[in-house]
Amino acid sequence: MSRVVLVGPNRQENLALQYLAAAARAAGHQAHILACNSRTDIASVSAEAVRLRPDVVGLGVQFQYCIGDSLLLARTLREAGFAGHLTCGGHVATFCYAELLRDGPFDSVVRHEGEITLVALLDALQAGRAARDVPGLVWRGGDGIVVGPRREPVRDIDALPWPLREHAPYLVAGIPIAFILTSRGCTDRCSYCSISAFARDAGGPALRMRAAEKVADEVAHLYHASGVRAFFVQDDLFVLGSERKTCGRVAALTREIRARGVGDAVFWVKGRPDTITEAVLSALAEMGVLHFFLGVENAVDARLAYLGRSHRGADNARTIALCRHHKLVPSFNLMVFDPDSTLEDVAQNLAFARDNIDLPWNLCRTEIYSGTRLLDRLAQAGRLQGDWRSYGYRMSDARAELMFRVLRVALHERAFAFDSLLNRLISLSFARQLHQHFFPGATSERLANDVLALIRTVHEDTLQILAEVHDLVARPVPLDGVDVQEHALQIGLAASRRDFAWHERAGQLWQYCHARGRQLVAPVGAMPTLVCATAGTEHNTGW
Amino acid sequence: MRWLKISYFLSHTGAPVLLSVTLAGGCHGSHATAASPDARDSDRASSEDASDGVRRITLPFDAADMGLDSFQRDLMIPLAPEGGAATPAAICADVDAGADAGVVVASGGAARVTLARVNPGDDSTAIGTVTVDPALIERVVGLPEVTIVGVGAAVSVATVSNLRRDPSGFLFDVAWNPRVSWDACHRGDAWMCKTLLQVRCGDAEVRTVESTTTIRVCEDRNGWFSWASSGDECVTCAQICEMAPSPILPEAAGDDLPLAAAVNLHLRPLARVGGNLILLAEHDGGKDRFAYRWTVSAGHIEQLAHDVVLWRLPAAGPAQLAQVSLKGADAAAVASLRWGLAA
Repeated sequence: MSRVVLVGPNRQENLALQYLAAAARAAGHQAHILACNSRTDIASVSAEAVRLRPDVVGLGVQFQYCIGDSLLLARTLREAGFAGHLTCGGHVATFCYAELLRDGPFDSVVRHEGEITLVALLDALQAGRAARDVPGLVWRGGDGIVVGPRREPVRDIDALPWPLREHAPYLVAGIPIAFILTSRGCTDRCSYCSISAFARDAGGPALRMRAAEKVADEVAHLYHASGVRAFFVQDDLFVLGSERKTCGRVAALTREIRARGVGDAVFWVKGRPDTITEAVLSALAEMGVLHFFLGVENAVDARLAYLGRSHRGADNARTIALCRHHKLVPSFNLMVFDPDSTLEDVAQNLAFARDNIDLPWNLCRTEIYSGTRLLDRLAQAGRLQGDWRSYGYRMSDARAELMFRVLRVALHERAFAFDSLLNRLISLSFARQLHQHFFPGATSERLANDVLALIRTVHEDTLQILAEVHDLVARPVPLDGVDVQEHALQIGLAASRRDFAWHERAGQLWQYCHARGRQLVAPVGAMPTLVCATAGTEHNTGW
Repeated sequence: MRWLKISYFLSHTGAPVLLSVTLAGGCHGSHATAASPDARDSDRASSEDASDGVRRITLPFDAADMGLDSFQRDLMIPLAPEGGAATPAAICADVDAGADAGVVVASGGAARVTLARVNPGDDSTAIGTVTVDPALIERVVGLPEVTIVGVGAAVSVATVSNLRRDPSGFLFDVAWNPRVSWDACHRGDAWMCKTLLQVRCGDAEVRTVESTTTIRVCEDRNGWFSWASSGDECVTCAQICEMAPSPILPEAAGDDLPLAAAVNLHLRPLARVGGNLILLAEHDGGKDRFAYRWTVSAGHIEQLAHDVVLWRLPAAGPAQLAQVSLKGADAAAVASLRWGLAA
């Protein structure tokens, strides 16, 4: 038996590490998962990993922005005395294995899906064999690195054990939630997406689906054993390209879930605007889908084509109208900026956001991930900046580029940070939906109105800032650099001052949802009857 | 390496009273500005600069009013230079360079405490584990001192006993007597385990290291409480959404557009003594590149260095806001901190 410690971000569960840990345990090995969400966690995580005395430590490197912290964590583990096998995996590791082995003290890198490769590595170490010649693995050999044979993805993903869930379910609005996968892979070819790049590079079928019965088994287990009432379906492609296939799939899931005694449970799913139809939404509503993370991405046809999307701007408006009709709340992220965005494109996106001011949304720049066609395109054009740790670019329209740079300063805390106010409002919107669904009545409606009022207020303010910055950079006379900086700082400071009260309000509503949900939700096991006099206010303790 | 020295005493009520804050090894001066909306001359602390890069802020207080019955205590916090991270391995660095070891050093990473139930059905006792940073474990002399600090019933009736060694640190027992009712009203409560370690620096010198771990009350699989330490997962979710990280990267220099470079800026609380909060503007933009501007919504601030200030909070009232902005030749950034703990 070998011992493995798996480390990675865990802000709202890390199904990748949970699947790996489950596979290792099913093969008779010991596996632990440690959360490392930021640089400040590295020292304590390293100490804990060393204390567990593992044979293998595996780091999950999913995003480009994680690379710096992953390298620091690897070095800290070595400095803390870990002398065992150090490996890593994930989307970035699949493409940047040479750089990781060059710059980090790793012994190997796991490429593509890791369950079978990790178990083979643990088996080899247990048997006293060197960790080499394992398909799916890259390791150090001689003066360089050796890329082992590619490992095909697991065809029957139902053969994999369920993800390791050792902790109690997360709570949102006081209601237990869980994250699940009903499929792996994606058939689309979005130019910026590392998920489709990962699937293509791995070979094998682009999309593998679990049997409806197996998904229902997992849902029913979480529902009955852990009291889970809300499920986040983390599939990269839940709504299929064909209406007939989607409706058949969703109907089968609904039938099998109900057949296992699952009563009132709700789902958060993702979908693309061009695949959402009246029939699909009806089927999803029947299943219990409450919230749609909609792949709007951009409001402009030319930008959507550039990004390799299969939908057009008109699909966005049509699908959002359908969702409203079915009382499903769509949330979305607008990728307002990409390498060839113009200021006119940006303006059209802001108009789209204003048309949907009541919906939960955020905005961002299109980022460049390893393995993607967009990265190749920029590299060929000589426009790729930065390096494998963090790629960047300068937009071809200087005005759009300048607008992004000002917003990077002015709206960092409002929009771009992990705990940004706009992200919190997306969370809060889902929380109020849960209360409206599970605890219908006047109180939930008042709560929903309060949340919607806050969202409208913040969005109105955000759109005013965006318009102000747009007008600033659209001036025909070039701006002085000092003036631009001062504008960015003044806008950012003023926005954060306004956010102060709105963060407090969002915190109060979030805590209220949590406390009320804990009182009203049907208890699991021997949960005592609970009454809290007041909901607390979230504070920034920082200790 | 910079050192922050916090001098304080405990009043007869047990409340800490700040006497002075000293930053050694930092630079300060005209580069930074600070604005306080309600500062009065009578509230002003006196500041002095020494020629060797030491800046000290001494706070006004009336010893008679405060009921001074305790001697002065000093807390030392090692600070990295602008844009770096202090590590536990550096705790003895100044002693190795010949400095006096006889000061207390605060280090959040030196030791970490976790609590676990002894028996599944018994929520009146727990076993505590003190995990010591591997860089320090061989240097620890004797047993640490562990205390539970904070407010509320979970703190006031807690007893720590039976400290003993463990391969990676130490173990101890905690008992709550009378028993605390861990109901939903306590969910999200937080208190701290303070660990005092005696760390051998050099051949004969011993330094006291103080490390605190926040313990938060969370919920387990069955809805019963559990304890989560700093860095642990707490099942009460703080946020739920599709998060698309937008990395901020230092970009190519020599760009002809403004704001060519990016800087990651965070406002971190370093320490709190009573109603006094010491804040660090932590960033990755390098040293001496930026003008700092500090503002607070209430109370007033005194500058210890460009990136370190003492924030004297109002005696009571709602949460308040501190902000810092950085402005350099090719980059700018804004960071804020909401602070809502009563003084």
